Amino acid sequence: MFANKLELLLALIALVMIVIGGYLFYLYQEGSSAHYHPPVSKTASPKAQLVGHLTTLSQAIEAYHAKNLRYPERLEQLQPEFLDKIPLEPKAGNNFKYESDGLNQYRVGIADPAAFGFRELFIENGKIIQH
Amino acid sequence: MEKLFNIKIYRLLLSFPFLLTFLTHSVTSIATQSDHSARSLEEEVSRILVKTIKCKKVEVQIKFAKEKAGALKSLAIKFDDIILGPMMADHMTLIYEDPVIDLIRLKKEKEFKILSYSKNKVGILISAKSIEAYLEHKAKQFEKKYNRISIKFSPPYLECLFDVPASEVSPETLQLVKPFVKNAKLEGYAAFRMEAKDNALYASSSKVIVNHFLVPERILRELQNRFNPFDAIPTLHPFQYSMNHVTVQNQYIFLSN
Repeated sequence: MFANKLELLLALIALVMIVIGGYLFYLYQEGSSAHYHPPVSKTASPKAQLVGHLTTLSQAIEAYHAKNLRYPERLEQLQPEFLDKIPLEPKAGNNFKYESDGLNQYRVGIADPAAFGFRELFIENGKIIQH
Repeated sequence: MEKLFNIKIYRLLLSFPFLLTFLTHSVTSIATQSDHSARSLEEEVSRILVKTIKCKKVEVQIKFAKEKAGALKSLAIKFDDIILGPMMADHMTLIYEDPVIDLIRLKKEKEFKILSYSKNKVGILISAKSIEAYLEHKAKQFEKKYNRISIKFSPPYLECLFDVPASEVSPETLQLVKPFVKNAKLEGYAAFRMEAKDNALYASSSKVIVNHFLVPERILRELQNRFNPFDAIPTLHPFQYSMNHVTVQNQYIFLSN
């Protein structure tokens, strides 16, 4: 009876030690310099990706304005200071539509919002319009 | 009667070029006058701001409202390499719509003050180099030393490589990361996301690696709760703003209201 209990206890201790050891091994493996990069975000739906890309573009346009006191004439002007690369529409890979008077207003949107289930989708002067 | 009418028509036709010249001249002269007063006001505001605010360059752009004489439509002020408390920003821009400037104070006391405005937009751009300089300044201020802290932007994350002697870390932090200390130092990598609310800066660490060990989320949450907000965005006199957004861009951190 006593021997059985001792065996059970030893087995439990061994199990706990295996779990702790496994966890420490995981932390050690994940801590190598090969893992010196930001966490990889989960792939969002095309609709969420589209809104995310538009928001990123709008923020970069605003930042460009803060540096130059005018809006860019073309989205390409946001590279490389504000964006590493200009995002494209998910699925079709088309360029985003951009227009600006250079000084006071800009609008960034897509050619066919219906393809993503929107009646209207654009960002105008930092404000997102989506229906 | 018909002859008289014809003479009047001829006179009118003859005077038309003069009338046109007069009108063109008047319009041009009003526009030039407006441009001139905008320029002189821009220069005056620049002169005053450059004296009161530590920066490399000030650029002021003023536009007068067409519909209301003397009223300003917009005012844009841009500072390059500006000192914001302990921090240096590469660029800072303040844009006001329908601003009312205290002109009496500006002329007499050489002081710049905005009495009212309908809308304002404030943007601050800070490069990785400026953040590193700021960290160096902070370390000196608290008489701390570190071997290396380098910053890199990977939108939406801010990445940091660090090598800090354990003796230079605050006791509260050290208590939390003690199991990870090796060779009396903390060396590794961190990826943060940043937020701003009412001029306070918050950081949430998404990944931290210390001496080859991934720091568990429980410890990261504890660190976040203890040290947030980690800093404040200084308000630059005579302006008032509340920064509420931070975005990490390719070469800058962009703070906006």
